[in-house]
Amino acid sequence: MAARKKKRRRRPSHNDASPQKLSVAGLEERGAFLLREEKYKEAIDCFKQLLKHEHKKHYFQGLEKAYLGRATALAGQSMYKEALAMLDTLNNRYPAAKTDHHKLTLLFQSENYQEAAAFYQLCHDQLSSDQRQQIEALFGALLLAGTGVTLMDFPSASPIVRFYPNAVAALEVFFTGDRGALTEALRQVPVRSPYRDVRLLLDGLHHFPTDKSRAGDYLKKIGKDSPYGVFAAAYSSDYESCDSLLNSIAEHQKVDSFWELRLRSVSPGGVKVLKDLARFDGTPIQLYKIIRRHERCFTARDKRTLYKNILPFCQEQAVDIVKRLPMFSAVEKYRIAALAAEQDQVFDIATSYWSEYLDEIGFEDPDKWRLVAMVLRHQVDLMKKAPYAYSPQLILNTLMDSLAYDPDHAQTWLEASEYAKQYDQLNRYYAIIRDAVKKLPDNVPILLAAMKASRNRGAHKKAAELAARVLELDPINTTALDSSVASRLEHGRRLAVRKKWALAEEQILAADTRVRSVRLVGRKQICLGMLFLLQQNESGLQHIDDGRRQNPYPLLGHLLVALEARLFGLPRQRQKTFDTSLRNYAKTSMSNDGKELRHLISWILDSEDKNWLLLKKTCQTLANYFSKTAVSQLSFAESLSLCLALERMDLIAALASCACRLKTKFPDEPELKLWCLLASAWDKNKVSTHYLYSELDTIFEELAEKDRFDFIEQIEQTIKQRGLPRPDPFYPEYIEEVVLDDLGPFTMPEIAHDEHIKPKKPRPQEPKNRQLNLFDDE
Amino acid sequence: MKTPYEILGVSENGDDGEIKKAYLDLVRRFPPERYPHDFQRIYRAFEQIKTAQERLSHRLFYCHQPEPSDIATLLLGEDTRQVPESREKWQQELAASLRLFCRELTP
Repeated sequence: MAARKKKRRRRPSHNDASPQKLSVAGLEERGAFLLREEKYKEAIDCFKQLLKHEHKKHYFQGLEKAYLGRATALAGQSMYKEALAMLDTLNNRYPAAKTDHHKLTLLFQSENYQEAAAFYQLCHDQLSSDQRQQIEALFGALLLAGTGVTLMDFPSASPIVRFYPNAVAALEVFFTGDRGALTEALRQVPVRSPYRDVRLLLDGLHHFPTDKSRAGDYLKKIGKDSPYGVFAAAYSSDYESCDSLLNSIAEHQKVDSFWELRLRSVSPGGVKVLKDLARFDGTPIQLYKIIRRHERCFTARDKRTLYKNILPFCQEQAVDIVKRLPMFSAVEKYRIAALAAEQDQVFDIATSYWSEYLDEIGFEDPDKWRLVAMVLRHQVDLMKKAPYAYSPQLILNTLMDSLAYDPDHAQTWLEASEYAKQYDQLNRYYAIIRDAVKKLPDNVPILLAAMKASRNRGAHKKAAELAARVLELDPINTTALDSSVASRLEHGRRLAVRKKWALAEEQILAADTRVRSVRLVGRKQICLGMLFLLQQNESGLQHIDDGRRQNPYPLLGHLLVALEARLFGLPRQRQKTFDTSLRNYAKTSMSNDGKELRHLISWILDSEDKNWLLLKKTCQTLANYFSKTAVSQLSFAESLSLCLALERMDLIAALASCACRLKTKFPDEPELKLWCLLASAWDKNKVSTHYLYSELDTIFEELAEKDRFDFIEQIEQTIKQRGLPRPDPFYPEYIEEVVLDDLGPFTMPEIAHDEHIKPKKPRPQEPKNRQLNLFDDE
Repeated sequence: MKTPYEILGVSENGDDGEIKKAYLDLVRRFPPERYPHDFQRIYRAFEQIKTAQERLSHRLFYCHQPEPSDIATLLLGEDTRQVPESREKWQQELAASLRLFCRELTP
């Protein structure tokens, strides 16, 4: 025998008291409470009871509110007949109740349009002018839609009837597609008629097939309170994605008319998917589960595409899932697993999966070699992200393997060569470049890399040949042009040092004069002049002077002359003459616009290793120039470059002067504070070690906060090379591990051996007034 | 969640020329100054598959996590909205939209 369910008794609350048992005051209070709580059914009972006691006006008003509320609630549940019955009952009980607009609304909602029209004729005097306008516009739309309402339902003087022919005429013209005629027909529909929005609707719909954006401009002007609003919304182009649909579903709201029209094509299963998607919590695995659960709603192709795109984001679960999916081949499975590992940032595992992928597709088929090469290159990218797991040798070998399968991939040749160079495998670097040139003899980037490699090796003749080949392919390649000139001049210098005058002159004369780099403009003439001077031919001075003047920047012209004198190994006296000339000119060129200074900085920073020492020596002549040069026109980035250039040139006093002036210009930049501090420390230990280390700590923290780790690294390298004064042993707390580890070896402040600090001569001590010792024998 | 091929309207076996032609046709139809959103989509698609190398790379390494709205779009199918061609159809659509409008009316 089935166990009978026990009926649970609900606890009575004080609001549940039967109206019959309450006093009048209690009933009044309860009625107001029930109206506030929207419990209209009980409120009706309550006010009926009150009216039994007395026929007060506000009891009727309460009853009216309760009935109207109840009618609206029933209409909300599509119980229109019941709602109308409610209004009739109210009218019987309280004839003064204003129910006309409610009744009209219910008639529209229940699609009793003809009855609504008849009722409107009876009650339109009771409605406000706004309400009348709205209702007439709605009747106009219903007439145009052919919903059963006819012109006979309205008086002939009504605007609904009067302007109907104009609206219909416009509609007829709309279907002919004649733009001019439509504009004219729409002009006949007055703005102050119930068909006002027909103008915007037909204009918008006319543009829709050709220009959705323009159509949207018209249709969006139709308000949501207009009877044409729903129709217009279905053709406005606001819906770029389904987000609004999913949001509506998630919040259990009614979907927009646009979506309602589109949802008609979706199966019931599809609607379930949409509901699940609306509840989606954001994890890819959840998305996968939704699709898996509703697999039947998707085509095989869509399903496959979705899995392929979702699974790589399912991290470690992807591997287990993909194993169970028969739709994917082994190759696809490895690919998805590899991508999932990449998304999970487990790059070594991803690399292994790609290896499995390659094993699966095989290496024999030449049609797949490009694919193999691409995967190998991708593996290199992943290996670089997990450097702890792979040696540079392995990475380089993988790159070379990829080149074996796709030798036309210039970028990989360059990458491989740079990688070999970076890890000091110079022979391999040159070999890779040589092979690359053999394989791709017309590839400009490869030829430029080969040209650079040749210059690094000192093979200037070869470099010049390669530059010439680049210029054949790309006649305006400035890098090649500059390099060609620099190589010819370098080769000429070498021949000059070996006293092969004719050959040297031939090389120098072969240098192109079309160079743009200020480091090379006029240099050919200067080199020619130097060659003549080496041969004791004083006409060389004229060539030098001509070359110097060719350079647009006089200071650079003078610097070029002084540098070339050193490069050609001219006698010391001659070098001094050119240095003096440079120094004298530098004194006069302090107040220029900064262009020259900028060129000088970039020259110093880009200078090649070979000529580095001689440039450094030459720049010592400019110590005074740098100390006093105007830095106000430099930007922040240029200021940092200036500091670095001065440090590289070993011009510490000038660095201290410039950095401190720049610190004043950019007071909030820790980079310049650091340069100023370091320069002061290097420049004859101008700061105490206590101050130095405490400030270093603060500035490094500031830099770290600004994420300037590249700059920190650069400065740490510089400090390692140059060293710092030993910390004061009385302040051990500043000898932080970080500082000591990162700042390189300590160097003792040079006191005894510093040439600049002359040891003080011991002063002859004056004889002290001593008390006469009358008793001492001394 | 359309593929670049679908956006450009070319087959997956299309060559460089075919893809470029489709791209230029679409750019002419959707110039960036009037259709910035559409243009961005077209441009991004073209960038992904414009060369054989990029097509291969896209096929191998590209993955894009679909959004729920992408899947919803897939379910709803193509947006094939068309303005009704006859007065009868137009009246039917207007009547349907008026029914929706009336249901939402409040007194």
